[in-house]
Amino acid sequence: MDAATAALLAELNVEKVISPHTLVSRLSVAQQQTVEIAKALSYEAKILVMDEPTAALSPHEIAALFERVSALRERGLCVLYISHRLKEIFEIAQRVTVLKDGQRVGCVDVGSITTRELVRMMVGRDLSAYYPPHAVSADVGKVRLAIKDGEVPGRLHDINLEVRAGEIVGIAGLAGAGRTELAESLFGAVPFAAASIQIDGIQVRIRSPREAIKHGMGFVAEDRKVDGLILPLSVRDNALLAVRNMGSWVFRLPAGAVTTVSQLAAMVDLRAASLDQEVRYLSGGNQQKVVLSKWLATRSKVLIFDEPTRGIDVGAKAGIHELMRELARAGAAILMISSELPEVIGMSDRILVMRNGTIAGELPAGASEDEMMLLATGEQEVAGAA
Amino acid sequence: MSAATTSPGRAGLPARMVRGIAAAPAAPVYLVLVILFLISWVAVGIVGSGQFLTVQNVTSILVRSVALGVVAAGQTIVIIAGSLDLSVAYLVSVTAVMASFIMQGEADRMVLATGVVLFIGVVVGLVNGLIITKLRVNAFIATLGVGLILRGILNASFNNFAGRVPPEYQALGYDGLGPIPYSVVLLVVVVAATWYLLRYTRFGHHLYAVGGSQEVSRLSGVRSDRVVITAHILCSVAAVLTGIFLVSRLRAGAPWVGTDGAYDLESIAAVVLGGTALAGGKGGVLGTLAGVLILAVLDNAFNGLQINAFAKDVIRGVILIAAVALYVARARRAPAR
Amino acid sequence: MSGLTPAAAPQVGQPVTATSGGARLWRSLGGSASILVILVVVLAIVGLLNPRGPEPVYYLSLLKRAAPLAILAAGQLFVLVAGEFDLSVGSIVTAVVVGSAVLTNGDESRTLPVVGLLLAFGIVVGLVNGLLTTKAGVPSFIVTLGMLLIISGGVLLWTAGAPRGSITNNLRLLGRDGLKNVPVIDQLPYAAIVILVVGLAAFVLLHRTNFGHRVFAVGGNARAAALAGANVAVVKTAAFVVSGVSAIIAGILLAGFGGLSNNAGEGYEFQAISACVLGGAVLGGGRGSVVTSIAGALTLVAIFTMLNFLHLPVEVRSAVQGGIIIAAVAYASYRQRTG
Repeated sequence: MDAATAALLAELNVEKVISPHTLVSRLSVAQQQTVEIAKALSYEAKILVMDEPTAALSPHEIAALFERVSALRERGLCVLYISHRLKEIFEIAQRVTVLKDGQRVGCVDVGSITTRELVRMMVGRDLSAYYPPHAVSADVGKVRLAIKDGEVPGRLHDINLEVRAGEIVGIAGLAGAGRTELAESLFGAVPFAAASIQIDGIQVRIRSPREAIKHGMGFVAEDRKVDGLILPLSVRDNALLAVRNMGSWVFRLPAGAVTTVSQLAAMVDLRAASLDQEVRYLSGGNQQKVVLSKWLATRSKVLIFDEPTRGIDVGAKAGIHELMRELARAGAAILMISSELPEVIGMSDRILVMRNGTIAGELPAGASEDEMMLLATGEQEVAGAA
Repeated sequence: MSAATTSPGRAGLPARMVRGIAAAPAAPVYLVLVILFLISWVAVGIVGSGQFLTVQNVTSILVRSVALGVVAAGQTIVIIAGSLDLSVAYLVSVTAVMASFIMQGEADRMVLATGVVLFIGVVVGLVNGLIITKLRVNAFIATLGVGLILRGILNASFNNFAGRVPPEYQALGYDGLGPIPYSVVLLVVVVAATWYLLRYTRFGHHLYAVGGSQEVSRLSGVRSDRVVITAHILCSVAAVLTGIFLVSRLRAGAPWVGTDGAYDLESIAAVVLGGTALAGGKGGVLGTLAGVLILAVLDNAFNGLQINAFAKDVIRGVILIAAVALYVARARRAPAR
Repeated sequence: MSGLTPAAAPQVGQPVTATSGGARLWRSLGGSASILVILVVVLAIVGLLNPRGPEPVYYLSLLKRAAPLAILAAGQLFVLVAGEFDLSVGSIVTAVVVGSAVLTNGDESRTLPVVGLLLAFGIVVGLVNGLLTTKAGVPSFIVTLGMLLIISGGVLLWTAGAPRGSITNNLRLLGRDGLKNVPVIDQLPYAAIVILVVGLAAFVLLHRTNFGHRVFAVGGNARAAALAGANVAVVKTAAFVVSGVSAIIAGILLAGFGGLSNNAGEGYEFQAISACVLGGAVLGGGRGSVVTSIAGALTLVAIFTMLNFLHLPVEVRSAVQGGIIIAAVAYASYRQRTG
């Protein structure tokens, strides 16, 4: 069995990195995916279905994955590739089928269609502007969140950053660079071992999510269903989750919280059958809006978004982006982690690029994908030569 | 990754076994067992009867472990698959009563009786498995319910000793291969078979996969329903074997045989003591064997020390909680990556 | 600090509809109110089977017998909704029955202090169960199973296997007696009042307070609840304390009419879990309702009574209990799948 496994891994050129005995939990997401492909090869699959395989991968891992997928195609496998990333469709697919609301819109050759036409098929209308306008200098106010010398041994070091009221700061970087770790530490889920944290100019300690929320922070996590929502509970219960957790044991809502759930739902333009509907039955976009309304209910001043539009269709994506910009305009300080470089570029007023557990550099709004990749990989010269 | 774990296993079977045991999560359980055994030896030697490390006493510890050990081996299989079985105690009772009732003291009905009770075991396991997988009933409720049904039928039909066990059948309970009692042979065979099944067969691998994540293994083409159903059938058959062993040590089967031994909760306790995770996907039968032996050594030491029998449960409870707390603490300390 | 008030987003598509108070009450019944229908049907059958017809006195005595289980179910529900088990409650009930006899030994002046002591015992057991589950990370199935062994063994040790003493009359009143000269029903059992009061308290606590909402959140998804500021360990431990206290109250009610024995509470843990499951609670957490769990307990006892009237052997009870809990959960998961 070992020998067969090793042969399969060799076929995928990863026999040096992954041994048959390695526990899968110790592999990176990209390596785990390779194991899944090996699994499919092991029973000589003829059709391989890949559902958002690049969602958690960094660009160079994506390139490696695409090479592998092309090789499989040449071996005669039929690959069904499901993705929200239009760029990938054009890169890897020969034909594309568009589904909308559970129905087939159409199937076309990739060569005969433009991105814009594809988007029109997907949303049923022309999305002229992908992203809302950036902040103008009048929007940007005082420093809301400031971290100095943040450190978590083995995860993060020398974290220094500031986020001002009214701005959206994008955080880019390759997978494993420490972006999600940064979010978790800022929010107290894995507290900084050492750091000086100021919120609105006041020195605070954040040792748990409770304390982070108390100081006006909110966290829209990467995996909604695991970290963001209580699936068997209603829209109402999820929207009020943080408020109730922070309130007293007895009274249902803290004094002064006058925003009702229906008002929250209106703010985020939630589309649900009723506020008592269980969130598990909502679409990804609407689920994300419920998560967002949870932090609107606590009136968070500092919001951290980790991959805010992952697994959300193009139409709802624009809605989430619009909401983020509105929150910033209303005075919130927003940190946005994203693996989608166009999203980082389109949304961010400033861009921080992470590498090896620290912030490698800062770029202004409108920086190019190349500039970000150079900082993220730390290989200026090599990349320049290539 | 250390080199030892990545090098292909060219070593001979004994060497691989030793390495396997050392690497197995069961290793600390055996350490606990050895320490407990030594403490008991010393304690019984100083303040008790002094009779601990005698052939007779060790044999008695082993025989005492047989009933629990066999059913716990089956329980290990279902727990690894992410399920559990609360019906085994009643199934043990059903087996004891039915076997004795069918035999009525006649030696020539031994095969018939054994066949019937094994058939009952397969049916009960099948029913448990089908309720869990096809009706999607939580295993706790499903097997609790089936156990209650068995209990109701049994108690409504029999309220005392039923039938009679022929002397030939009692050989299993009392005779042996030279100094080794047949019952110990039964335990060893069941544990070895389970060990082989879990470690070296495709079904065993599927069990761990299903217990680790049912959805993922289903998407990987493992027919998880079949795996869970088969696991339950094996568990029920193990309970039947325990029932057969117990009835062979009695002159007649009685409906309280299984419940008096509390084989449902005790077998789960032994499995968990042995380091198998209640959530499924992790563990092994060798740990369970150690868990069973720990409980038996404790029992025996209490007798040797003439400690009030009522204190036994208290100490068992404490050891059960403490042992699992220890495993959890160990697992938490281990590096996450 | 000025709070944020984002401008309302443009209203597009289907608006969210508000729901009435009635609908929300229905929801807090856990969407499995069919148990209420079953209860009424079973009660009607019991009434018809009664040779003297459906008289209120008969139902009230049924309520009296069901009271300990109903209270246990209400307490167990907190733990189940929080995603855990409490298998120790049966042994706590035994400890209460035996303890109240041994400690008071018929002396009425000791009743109050002993009740106080027992309540403290229930709280401590709940705390220990909760802390071992949340802080030591031991699965609650194991913790409470170990606790069951410890308490039942402890009771045996304490009484040397044969409990002596007698329960004071004023302690027995609660489970046995009632308010006299009530119109129509003649006597209103105290047990009925206890069910009403404890049931109402449990309902308000679980369905109408922030603590109750946290229990649901923690049981539904502990990680997400923690990231939204819940203190998971505190919430789960509090749920175990509620269960422990409910077991003390149930034990006092049982002491009123039950006999004094070392296995007085045996099997109550599984019956309480069965009652909650009949009422739509889901093992694993996040779902359940106080009203339907108490209804589940009453249904279970009513069915047992029905079997008596049908002259079936008392042993058939457990088979019926087994059958109906499987059927109830199978039905619930079928409905869940088909939506």
